[in-house]
Amino acid sequence: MNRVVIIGHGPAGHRLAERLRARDGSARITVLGAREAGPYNPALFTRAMTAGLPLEWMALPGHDEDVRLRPARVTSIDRENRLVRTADGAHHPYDGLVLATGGSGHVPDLAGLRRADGALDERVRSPRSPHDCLGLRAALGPDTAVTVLGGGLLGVESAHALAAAGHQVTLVHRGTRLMPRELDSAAAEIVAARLRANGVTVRLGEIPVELSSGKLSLRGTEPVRTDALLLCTGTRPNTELAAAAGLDVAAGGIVVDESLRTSDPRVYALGDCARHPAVRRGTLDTTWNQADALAGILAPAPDSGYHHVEVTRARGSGLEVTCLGPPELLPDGTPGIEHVTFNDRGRHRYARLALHGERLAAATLVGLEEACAELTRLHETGAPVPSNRLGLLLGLERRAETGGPPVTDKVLCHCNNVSESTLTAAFHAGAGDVPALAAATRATTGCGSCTDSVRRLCESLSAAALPENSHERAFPAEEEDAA
Amino acid sequence: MENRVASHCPYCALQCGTTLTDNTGTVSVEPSNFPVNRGGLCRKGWTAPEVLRDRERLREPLVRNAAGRPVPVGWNHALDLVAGELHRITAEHGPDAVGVFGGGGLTNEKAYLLGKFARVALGTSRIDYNGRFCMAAAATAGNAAFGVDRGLPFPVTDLAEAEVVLLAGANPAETMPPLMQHLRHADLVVIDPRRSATAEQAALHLRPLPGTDLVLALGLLHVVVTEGWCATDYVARRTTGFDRVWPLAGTWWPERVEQVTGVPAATQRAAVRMLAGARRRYVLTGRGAEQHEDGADVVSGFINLALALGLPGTPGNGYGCLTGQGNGQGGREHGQKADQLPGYRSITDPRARAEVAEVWGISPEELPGPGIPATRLLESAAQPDGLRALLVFGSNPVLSAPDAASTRESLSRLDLLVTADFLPSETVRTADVVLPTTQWAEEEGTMTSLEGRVLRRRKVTTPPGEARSDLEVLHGLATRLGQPPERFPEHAPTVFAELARASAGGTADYSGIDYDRLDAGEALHWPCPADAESATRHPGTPRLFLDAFAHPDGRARFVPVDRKEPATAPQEEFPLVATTGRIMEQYQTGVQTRRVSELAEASPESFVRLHPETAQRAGVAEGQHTRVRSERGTAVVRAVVDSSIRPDTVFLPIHYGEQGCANLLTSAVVDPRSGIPEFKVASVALSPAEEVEG
Repeated sequence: MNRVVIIGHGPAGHRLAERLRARDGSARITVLGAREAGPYNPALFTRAMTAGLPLEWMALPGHDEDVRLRPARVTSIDRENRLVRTADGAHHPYDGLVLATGGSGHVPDLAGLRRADGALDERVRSPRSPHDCLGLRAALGPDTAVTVLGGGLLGVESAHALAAAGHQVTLVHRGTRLMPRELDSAAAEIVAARLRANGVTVRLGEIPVELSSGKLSLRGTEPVRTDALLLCTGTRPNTELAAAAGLDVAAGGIVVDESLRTSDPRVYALGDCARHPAVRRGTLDTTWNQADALAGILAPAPDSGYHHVEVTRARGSGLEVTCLGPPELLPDGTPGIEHVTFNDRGRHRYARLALHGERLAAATLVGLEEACAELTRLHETGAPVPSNRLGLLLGLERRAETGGPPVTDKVLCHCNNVSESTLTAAFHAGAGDVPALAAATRATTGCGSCTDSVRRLCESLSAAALPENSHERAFPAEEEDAA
Repeated sequence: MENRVASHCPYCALQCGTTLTDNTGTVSVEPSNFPVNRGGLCRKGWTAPEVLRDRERLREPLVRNAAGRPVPVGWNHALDLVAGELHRITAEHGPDAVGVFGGGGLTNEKAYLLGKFARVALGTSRIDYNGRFCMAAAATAGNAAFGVDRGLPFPVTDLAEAEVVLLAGANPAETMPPLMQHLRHADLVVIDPRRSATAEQAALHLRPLPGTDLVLALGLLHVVVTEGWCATDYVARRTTGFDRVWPLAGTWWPERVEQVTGVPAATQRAAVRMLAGARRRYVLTGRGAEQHEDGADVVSGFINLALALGLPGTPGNGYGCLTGQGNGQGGREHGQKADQLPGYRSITDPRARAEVAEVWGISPEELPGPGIPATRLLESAAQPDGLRALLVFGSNPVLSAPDAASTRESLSRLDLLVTADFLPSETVRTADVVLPTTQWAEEEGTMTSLEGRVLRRRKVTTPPGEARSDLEVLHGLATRLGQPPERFPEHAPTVFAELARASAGGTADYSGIDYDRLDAGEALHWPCPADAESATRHPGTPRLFLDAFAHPDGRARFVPVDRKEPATAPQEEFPLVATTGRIMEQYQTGVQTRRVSELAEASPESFVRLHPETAQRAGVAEGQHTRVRSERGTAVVRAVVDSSIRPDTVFLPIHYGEQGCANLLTSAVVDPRSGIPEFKVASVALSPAEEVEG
């Protein structure tokens, strides 16, 4: 497809333009809806909140100049004539069109969130906006109380990051379970415990009523001191253009098939605006993987489709939450599935695995650093799960019998293959200290890491060989006779 | 009669100091108190003299007769034959039909004269060497970042003061044991898919899936910046390009890196905190980081990390590459590389061409242009307009080149394969003409160690039979090709003096170095320019970059690198990743070390190391012969089963031939920046090759 028009220049549109450009030098790529600055890398926004990462350091890599960036707002898509019209009166013909319109943060209907003019109150910020994140950082003083509204993945990550940076944080969540799309109740309890251990006040099952001066009122209970409110109340896919163009749109977004194609075969959608049959929880990773795949699909010699692997990995040092595969495989009684559960409440660690034969079908992991890494690999590659489940979860070295003969004479110097018996023989032949042993056997002359063990051996041999230092010396003659 | 000389070990780039004693023809070795080894020596070094008197030493020139059997002929006959054939092939097909393949074990003098021989006597551009298989990626990345490539831009002994050392794909505890004494006081952060001997000694071990090193490097840089460890003042004062590098690393947060590499996010953070929190720290790369199809990018990734932390050019800190081959450093400086002239200068730089041409007594127009890197060079033997003849000096490409079966097939199409070597390597065994050469203890010369120090190799004993120095061989061939005899001196000090002149003004400037200074025991690291004006001679440069980097603006360059298109998912047919590497008892393709009884006894044959889970699934037991199959070929080796390796990865050593040759599995895909092949990742499947006994 020679002329590709991409609508939207967030992380999805940006990545697609970049990858398509790298793959297909002849493609004419136009991105509509581009902004003056940015786009920005959402993975860095929590760092902007906590460490003040400057705005320019959050920008995604610049495009090569052959990618045409157009700031104009799109007004309509004319599928019949294969062109996109923009507010500046221009129209952009396409061979392939990609909707990368993203999602918008949902603002709940809560008193006090908006000012009289309808704009959000200055205390209310979105973790999806780099400007808001920097603004929050600037507003945070030593006693500032931050309230995170919403206990989904982003709310959990944000609360964790702010608390880790030493701020006073309360997480208010309507449900009784954190990250309800990802976690079962046992895992959610462990995540809540990790947050609390990290200094977050977690308030579950609370209905916010009103944001007023210095506090967020909750229904029927104590209000939460709130100097700043971070809205983590979910997103809604931006589907208006697609709907107006007559493309199939459902509640979760623009309907696409396995290969990210909409109901019009020349039109694709990806990222937060799209509803892919296999995607349950979209993340930035998902968006970028889709962009990589779509670049392959749109390239002149299509070589790939999109293969979705469901992985949600919370960001943040010490959070360590990973969710793999479809969560409906995790409850007890799922046919054909064997479950493994590990629940270490005391140390805030939890694992639930759903195994289909030797393959990992789904998993939830909390606080198990090694297992997060290992199981994600197993899940992605479909490789068989090792039989030692505990070792797998706890990252224990899985040593096994190597089948060799038992070690009878320990090798002390591996570099020169010098065993204890060789050293002992050299000692008795007159090599009485480490340099002499080195000269006689070459032990210690390689990497030198055995020097201490050789010295200890030498000392113990010396002690044994110097009978005047031994109280057993009282009866030497008899021993000699006995020998 | 006893003869004692001070020299250096024949093997790796550490070039441990040794004292050689010849007692009526029998040579023995003792380590000396040289700074890099301080009395240490590994098993290979201790047993090196055995190679001198190996019963299979090549003693006389051999030429394959009509029946295909190599038969002894005199030197004159052999050299006449080779010169005659080269003359014919050049006349019929042009000079680029003749190729020259050198080695990183050759002395500086040999490497220099070999490059000159190719360009002047043969007039061919087709010269390259086995260093392309070794650390070419680090050379490319070093040049890009610093404007110069010297393995360690500081003396090895500086490492002893380090608090933390990050070793990326390096296993010195096995491959360079005496180096470890300098690392004894440092906390080691080791990146290796295997729990190697070095990883055993590490404070922290990162175990990435082979082929994901670049992503790991990007992730570590991500943590450096987001956790506030970036040396912003240093970056602003001493570097350029950070603003193009950071946005790429910004997309690799630790949890995303974890998914690709298998290294836990927490371990990545711990590694950065250790490294960044110390005052004296080093980042060192080895073959594990370098031998990849994106090898130069991987090394650039680790250099970017070092630059963000402000290490290069800061006293007590730094980045370095642990060069592998004995003269891996000098071997890449004197013109046996396809794109280089002596002094580490570019063959496309008009000024360098003019200066070198003047030293060589030719016009710059007579100098050929750049050639092609090693893998392509060898492949071209199978192509219609490619090589018709190849001269191999001190190298064994039949085993060391990737995709061994194809390499062997390509070389079999040559009209003429000539090898100059001292042992019957696998390449020698396929040659039409074999020219026997001297080796380390039988010749004079210089080597340049991994720290850029020029060292004297000294003769202690006489070579067997009719073996000649490579310098004499080149002289004999060049004169037969019509060159004036004085243009190809046979005497090492004379060649060195010319090399020094030819390097003057280059990056690796040796012009202030001579045998007298070296023999007087001076520790001379290049650059060491001659200075006619000054009364005192240049003391050499043990530490580079303290004031400026070698780019014209004096700044180091961040080089923007990112992961290329993700590799295709592991195929059902080849579900495991094979990675190749070295073991303690053997060196390179094992031509020397496999003959040493003590080493052969310890490591007699090739093997595949695999995890017990993997072994169980493949139906393979410890010690059993195992078939390892890739798209390229099949190796049959014994299974070594232990948990020091990831279950998705298997390891094969590179030192063996025949069915145990690890390169039967590798493919000839090379890094576009450096030409280094992908030796560390091959998709394979395992199956038992024999019934289990008992």
